[in-house]
Amino acid sequence: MSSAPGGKSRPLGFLLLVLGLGVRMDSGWDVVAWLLIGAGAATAASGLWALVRPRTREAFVPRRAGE
Amino acid sequence: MPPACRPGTAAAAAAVVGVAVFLALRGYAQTAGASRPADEAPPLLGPRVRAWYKGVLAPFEDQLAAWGVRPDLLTYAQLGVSVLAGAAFWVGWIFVAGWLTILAGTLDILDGGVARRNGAAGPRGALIDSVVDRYAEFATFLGLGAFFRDSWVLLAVAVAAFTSLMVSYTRARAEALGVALSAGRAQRPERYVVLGFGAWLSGLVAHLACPVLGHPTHVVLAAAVVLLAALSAWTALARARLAFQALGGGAA
Repeated sequence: MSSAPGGKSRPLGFLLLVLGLGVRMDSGWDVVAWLLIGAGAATAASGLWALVRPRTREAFVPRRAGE
Repeated sequence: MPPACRPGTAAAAAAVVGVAVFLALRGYAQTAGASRPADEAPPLLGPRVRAWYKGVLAPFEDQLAAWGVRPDLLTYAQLGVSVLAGAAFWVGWIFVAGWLTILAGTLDILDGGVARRNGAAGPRGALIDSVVDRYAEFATFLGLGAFFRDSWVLLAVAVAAFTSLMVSYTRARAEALGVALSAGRAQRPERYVVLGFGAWLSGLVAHLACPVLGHPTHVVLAAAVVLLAALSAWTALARARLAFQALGGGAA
């Protein structure tokens, strides 16, 4: 099963982002739409960041002497 | 009243969906297919797709189980979301209705998963799930019918609603007579996918094509409803045939 970092925030952010864009397309509720788009983008971005962050951390692991 | 044309927002939504599909395909490629016994009529969404989606939902199931959320609550939430989806179809919020339909389908999967994790799975929950599912389907089809009330597509909505109920009824009746009947091409997840993604695509096409056509068009949703009606009718009849064969094909 999925245990990748950001495993909850990526799908959640995507869902909020798509809902916000949908509300903007289908209705005149622009304030609600922009709130959803902002929340979704931030959540999805944090999930994507969590996905790439472990790789960048590995570069800072100090090498032991003699390796 | 829905705004007439928002092609820019539709293009942004298409880009977001494209990125999500790309990430989903990456995850799908890393998912091992679960083996299952070969049915005569296996579902259109194979075991690998189901295993991938369950993998996506696994962290949410863990969280809900840790919070002690009762599976019944998720089942009733699915009914509420389906009523909202019906209302969204009714007022012409087609893209939002597709989103709500997919959310309802996800809650339908989550309630069973949480029940199994909590050790709360049992006949009472199965009965509530089956009964609520039928009301949820009716609510969505009611809104869809209201949206297409002045069109020939209303007939396809009626056929889809009836045959979707027949898919479930045939299985329930056969199982009451002692015949296990899990086969079927268009089961509930397939129906959610056809209607949900059909509505998403229809919403996108309506707004992207709007500047050219001068008005929104929902031919994609109409095609999805016709496809849903055909798949459900096929599945209901195939199940009835399998049950009849299993019962020996004798006189009624």
